[in-house]
Amino acid sequence: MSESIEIRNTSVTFHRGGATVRALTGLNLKLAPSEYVTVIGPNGAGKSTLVNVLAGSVPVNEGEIFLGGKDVTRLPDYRRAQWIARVFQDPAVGTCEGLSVIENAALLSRRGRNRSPFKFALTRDHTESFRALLAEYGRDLQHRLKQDVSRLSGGQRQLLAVIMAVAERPEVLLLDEHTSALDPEMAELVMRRTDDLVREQHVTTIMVTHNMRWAARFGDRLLIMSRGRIAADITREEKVRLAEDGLIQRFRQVAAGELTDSLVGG
Amino acid sequence: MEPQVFVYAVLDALETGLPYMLAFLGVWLVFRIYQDFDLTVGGSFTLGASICAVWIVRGGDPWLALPLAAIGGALAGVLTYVVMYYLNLSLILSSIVVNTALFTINLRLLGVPDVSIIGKRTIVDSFNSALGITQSSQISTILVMGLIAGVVIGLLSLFLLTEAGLALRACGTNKMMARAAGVSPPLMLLLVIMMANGLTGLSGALVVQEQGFVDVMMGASILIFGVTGVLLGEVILWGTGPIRGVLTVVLGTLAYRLLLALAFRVGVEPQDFNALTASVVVFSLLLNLGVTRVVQTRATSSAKAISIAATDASERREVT
Repeated sequence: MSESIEIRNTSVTFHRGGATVRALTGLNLKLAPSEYVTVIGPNGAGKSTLVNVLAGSVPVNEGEIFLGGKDVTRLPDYRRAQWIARVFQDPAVGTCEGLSVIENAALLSRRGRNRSPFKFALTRDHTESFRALLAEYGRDLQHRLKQDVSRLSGGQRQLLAVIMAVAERPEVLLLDEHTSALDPEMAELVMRRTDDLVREQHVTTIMVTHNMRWAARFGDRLLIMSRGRIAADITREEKVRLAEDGLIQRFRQVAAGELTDSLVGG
Repeated sequence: MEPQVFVYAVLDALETGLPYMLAFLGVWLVFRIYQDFDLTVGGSFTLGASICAVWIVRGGDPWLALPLAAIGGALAGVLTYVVMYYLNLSLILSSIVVNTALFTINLRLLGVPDVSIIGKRTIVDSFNSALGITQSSQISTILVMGLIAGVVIGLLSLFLLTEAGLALRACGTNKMMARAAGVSPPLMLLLVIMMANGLTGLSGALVVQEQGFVDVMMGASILIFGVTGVLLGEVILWGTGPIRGVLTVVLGTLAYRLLLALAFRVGVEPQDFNALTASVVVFSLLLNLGVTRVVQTRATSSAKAISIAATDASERREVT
C-alpha cells in the first residue's frame, strides 16, 4: 500500500524583518494509512510549519509533498482540502461565526467537493446524521444545531470542529494544538473525544501538542521536533516500553535542555 | 403633517425605492456578506442604465433591456476582478480604477451626458397594455417594479441558502475556515462581484424606465446610498441569517426612500438630500452603536455573571 503522507527533503524559510528563519530544514517524513502520530517540540521547532506545509497554507522552498502517492506540492490549500481536514488552534478560526452549528457542519460536509448553486445546503439526511454524531460525541450540542456558533464556548467550538473534521472520513486529519486555547478540563474532554474519533474512524492523523503528558498518552507514533528537523521518531513499541516517565526523560535528552519544564508540566 | 401627505410619501418611496432596491442588495452582498467595498457599483449602475436607454431609444424591447443591463453590470464586475487579481490590488483600489474607466465608457455609449426615453415604450407601458390599462399611473409602476424586485430578491434569497451560497457566506466571515473546507476565495470573490454588479446594472435599467432618462452621473452616489439603506435597515431589523439580511435591505431601502420622500413633501430641497443622507448614516451608526452598548451593558451586569457561571458549571459537568 502506498504511503498516506510523504514529505521529501522539504525546507521552508521565512523572512522576518531582514532576518531569515529556517522553519523546516530538509525534513523527511512518511506516514502509513491510518497511522496516528503526535508531534511535540519547543516553540519555533517547526511543528506548526509542518502542519501548514501539509495543508498547503505555507509554500515550500524546497522538497515535495505527496498525499496518497500524488504530488500535491503545487496545489493550494483549498484544493488539498479534498483529502485533508484541519482543526486550528484558535476556536474562532475552526468554526465560522454568523453560521449556525448545522450550517457549519453542512459547509464542512462538502469539503473539497463541488458546491451546487441549485441544491439547498441543509438537507434532512445530513442534519439527522450529524445530529446523531453530535449525540454520541458532542455533549448536548445536538440540541443547539440552529444556534450561531458564536454562542458556543471555545471548548464547545473545538469539540464541534473535531467532530466536523472527522465526520466525512478525511484521508488525513491535521490537529494543530487544538486544545491549547482551552481551560484544562475542557482541553481534557476535547482531547479524549478526539482520540476516540481518530481511533474509531482509523484516520491518518498528525496531532501537534504542547503538552508532553498528552504526547505520551495519545497517538501511536511520536515525533519530537527541534530546529526544523525531526529530532526523534519514536515507534509505537518503543513508546509503550518507555512509558510516560521514560518518554519525558527521552525528550530532555533529545532536545539537550532546549525543552523547558513548562512543557513537561501540566 | 396631514395623513394624505404620508400616503403620498409612501407611494413615492415605493415607486422610486423599488427600482433602487436591487442595487442596494448588490452593495449589501459585498459590504455585509463579503465584508469588503466594491466601488464598481457606481459605474455598473450607470452602465446598466445607459445600455437600457440606448437599447430602448433604438427601438429595442424594454424587457430584453433588463438582462442586457444585468450582463453589462456583471461584465464590469469581471473587469474589476481581473484588474484586482492580475495587478494584485485591493478590491477598493481596483474598483476605483474600473469605475473611472466606466465613466468614459458610459459617456461614449450615450454620446451625450443625458438621454431621455420619455415617449418610448417601457416595461410599465407593456404591463399596462397587457392588462388593458389605458392610463399609466404610479400604482402600475409600483406593481411592475415590485414584481421584478420580488422575483429577483426571491431568487437571491434561495441562492444564499444553497451549497454555493453557504460557501460564499462562510468565505466572507472566515476565509481560513472556508479554505480548509475547500472553498476557493478567488472564485467566491469573482462570484460576489459579478452578482453585485449584475444586480446593480439591472437596477440601473429599472431606474431609467421608471424616471424616463439616464444621466451619466446617476451612479456616482449609489455606494453610499446603498450603505445608508443597509445601515438604516439594520436599525429596524437585526439578527443573523441570509433571509433576515435580505429583509434588512428591503426595509432599509424603503425606509430611506420614505425619509427622502417625506423630506421632499415637506419642502426640503433636493440639493439638501446628500446632507440628509449623511445624517441618516451617522444616526444609524449611532443608534446601532447605542443598541450594542445597551446589550453589552446589560450583559456585563448580573445576568452575564450568572450566564458565565452557568456555562462554566455545565462545561465542568461535561468532563466526566
